[in-house]
Amino acid sequence: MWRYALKRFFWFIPTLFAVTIIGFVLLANAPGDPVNSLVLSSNSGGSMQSIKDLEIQKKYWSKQLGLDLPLFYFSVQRLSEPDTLYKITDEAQLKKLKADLKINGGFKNYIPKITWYGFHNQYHRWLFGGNNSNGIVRGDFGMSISKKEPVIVILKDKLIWSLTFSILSILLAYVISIPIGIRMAKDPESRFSKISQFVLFLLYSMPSFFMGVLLLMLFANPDVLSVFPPSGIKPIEGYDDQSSLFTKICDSLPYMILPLICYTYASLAFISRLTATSITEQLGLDYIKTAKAKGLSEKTILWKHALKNSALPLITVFSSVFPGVVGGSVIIESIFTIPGMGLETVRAIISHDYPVVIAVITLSSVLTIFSYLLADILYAWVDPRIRTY
Amino acid sequence: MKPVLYFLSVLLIALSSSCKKTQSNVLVVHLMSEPEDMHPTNGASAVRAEINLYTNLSLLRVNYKTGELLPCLVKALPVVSLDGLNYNYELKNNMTWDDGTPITARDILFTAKASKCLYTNNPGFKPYWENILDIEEDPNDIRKFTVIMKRPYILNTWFWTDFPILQEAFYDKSKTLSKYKNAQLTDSVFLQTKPDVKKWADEFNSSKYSTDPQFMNGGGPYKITKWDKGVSITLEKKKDHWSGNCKNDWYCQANPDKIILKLNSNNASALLELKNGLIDVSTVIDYASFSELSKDENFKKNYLLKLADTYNYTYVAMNMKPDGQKHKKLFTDPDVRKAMAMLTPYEQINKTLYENHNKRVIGPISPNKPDFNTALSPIAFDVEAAKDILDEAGWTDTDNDNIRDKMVDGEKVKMEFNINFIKGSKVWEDLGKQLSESMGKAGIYAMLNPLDYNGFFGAATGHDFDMIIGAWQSSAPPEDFSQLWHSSSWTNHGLNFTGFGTPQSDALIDSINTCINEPKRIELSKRFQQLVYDEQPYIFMFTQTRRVIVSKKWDNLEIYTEYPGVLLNTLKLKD
Repeated sequence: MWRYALKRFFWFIPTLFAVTIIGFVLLANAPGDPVNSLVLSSNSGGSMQSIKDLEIQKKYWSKQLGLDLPLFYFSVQRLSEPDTLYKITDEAQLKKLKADLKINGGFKNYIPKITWYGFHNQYHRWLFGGNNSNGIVRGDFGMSISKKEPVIVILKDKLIWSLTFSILSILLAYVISIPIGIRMAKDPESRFSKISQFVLFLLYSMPSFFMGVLLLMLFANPDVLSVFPPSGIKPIEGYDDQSSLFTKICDSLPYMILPLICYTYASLAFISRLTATSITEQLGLDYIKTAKAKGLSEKTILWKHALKNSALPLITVFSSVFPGVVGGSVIIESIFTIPGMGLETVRAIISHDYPVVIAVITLSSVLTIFSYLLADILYAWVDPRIRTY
Repeated sequence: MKPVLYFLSVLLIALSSSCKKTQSNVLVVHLMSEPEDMHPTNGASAVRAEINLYTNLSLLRVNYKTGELLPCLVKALPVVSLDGLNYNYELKNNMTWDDGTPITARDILFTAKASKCLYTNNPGFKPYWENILDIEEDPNDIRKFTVIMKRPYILNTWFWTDFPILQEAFYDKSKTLSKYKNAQLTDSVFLQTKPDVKKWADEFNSSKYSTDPQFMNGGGPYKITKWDKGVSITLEKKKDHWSGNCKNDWYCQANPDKIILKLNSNNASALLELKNGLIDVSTVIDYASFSELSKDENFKKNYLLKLADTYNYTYVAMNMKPDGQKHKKLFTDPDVRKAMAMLTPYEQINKTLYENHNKRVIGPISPNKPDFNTALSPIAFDVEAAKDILDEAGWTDTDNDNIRDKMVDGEKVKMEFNINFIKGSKVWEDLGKQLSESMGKAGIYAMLNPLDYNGFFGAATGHDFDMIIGAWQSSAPPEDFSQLWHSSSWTNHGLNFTGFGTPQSDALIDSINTCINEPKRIELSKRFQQLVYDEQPYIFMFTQTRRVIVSKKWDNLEIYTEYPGVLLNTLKLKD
């Protein structure tokens, strides 16, 4: 078992490396210029922005952010282009220069050239550190461009709330949906099964923004029923300084119920249907008949034998849902004003805050890889035949 | 079944008690977005500027009632030399920092040096300080100083209103910057030999001054005591603040004991928070929610709802100098641009998107400013007249495909283009749709092109667009037109997106910027507005209206055109 797990683990290292490179390159080539966003103030009125000064500032901050370095260890370009093009950080200038070079390039435009830049490049700096950064291998994702704060500090706060909601919702979804699924599978023609099927179908087809607003309008609205607070995750004045963790949880509980319902309902509906279908399949198999013939109780047959053998699809679902805990949910976080990862990621993408975006991509990749690894191990545990593959 | 129902009832009652309203004399204010950071020099958001109104003090402030300058840390407005370059200030007596030390000219000098220093992470604001040549302290009086400017400029005094004064002893304990002159701190070659300045800057730029309330220090009557990221920011009134002696000026007042700025970026839940009485003040809720609340009689018993003007305006910009290749020469003729303005269904847009709350603008100056040119009349929506203008300009449908065309530089060009706007804004998308539909009636094919902020901004400054929908924020100070309208700002990919500008208009802008005689400046400004009106580089749309909602628990409410519209520190809890 351990050998199998170790083998799977080593396969994931190159995958992670590839993911970081793809994420980095995609983002570096995304439209927009972080230096422009940093340098140009959005205020329009009453400025005496001198263009010369602006250019000096742009150059200075390009250097500070390491954007004047080559992107990667090597580049592939036309033979007509010089290998120092990376030094031009102004997008418009670069575009114009490339067009001019192409016009004058002749046959050289069609011959590719590989240039080696060595370790002094943006990706290497991001990975191993340099210029005030320790690199992600040492857990340092650098500084946020727009917030000017260490990325890890920004994400830590957001991650706590996203993890809390996601893990609770996954737990709730499994804890509620498995018994519902088993009961539906036990007697598919019962009234409970028919009603459950209808309700679950309805829930599954409801988009989360609709459900979120519906919950608010029903349970946080003084015109209908004002039971839960409409937004936030804690009392307006925050927690008392001396509060214990238990008190904090109690304070936050009313704020968490509506978002938690919103986080959970869709996966609850899906997992219930999946459990019911898998167990129904198992109940028709010979080993169940044998178990019944041996006189085992219905409970033992369903919970011990049928459930274990129908667990593979449930594990697959888990492995696909679990990485989402890092991503959060933009819609739910926006409706209920939850300071989670979803909104932070969108903010970072919009403001071209690439250190934050890359950190999210990397964390998501690590978690995806971890959940696949966990799923592989669980598969092997549930079905020992898998270990031999 | 009964126990379950009983349990649920008890749970609901218990939970409903959790929707606690705040204690008395605590003002809860609705925030749509939180500031990126609260660094004294390095932040840029509007919310940060609003918070600074209460936690920091500047040399001068805006008089919100009159829109004029108001002395804040100084005794009076500066005495200006005849050449308009030297500004003599004198600080008020008895002003102290939180540690009891006096506010002196040294702190003003430090503020300028910290802001100008090349290593300080405030690139967007450096140009505002660029015009300061030096600040000279009076050797005989720690409260007197002279600000020496490089050139006369209309904002030489106004610019101080935007920047908080920093305490040297707090931000530069080892007095590093005092060893260097202003000019040395902006000289990159000189600074390379001064590691102590780099060390100071690394410390000064560090995130603790941006995010940790313990390291937020200002001269204002409030202090940030808690910043719960993504949730709220709490300001608490300082005890025994020196400003207690000058209650007549707005910046000295501190009526609520606590101001909690509560984040809620979702209009639906913000509306419910207001209905639940959980928010005392909102100036940022959307038009639809404002209209819904203004029809709710129950809500109006507890809240006051008012619409207020702002200096901000929305516009549709046209590319006047396209490359002719990727972007065809569609809007090079002022008559065509005027026809576009005539094809804009202003009333319909105002009614359907802004609940009829917004007012038309005619040019780049708000009707609320003294230099607004009243002689100009708004261009009316008139499809037939627009069609005639387009016909006369040579844009006709020669091939009967329902799209106008014209031979331009020997090539047949169709009147079809993209309208760029920042995606995510439903209002702008709907505005674009209505514009496109209306233009379609005149044989013009306009497609909507939503872009993310960076894509939009990059295309606009790179002149890679045909038409864009945007908005500008403005404020009470006299307008410097160079950023949006000077031709150098187009050449250098600044905020002059359209390509507007002639030697005549550039000269006029330069004259306005250096004119410190107010009546003369107003006259020049009106002439400039006439130039813009004749050229119509923008379809000038509406001033944006602020939706002010304030709980009737609070008294002493005054609403202003200048941002933020309501001064929170002046609100008083009713007895």
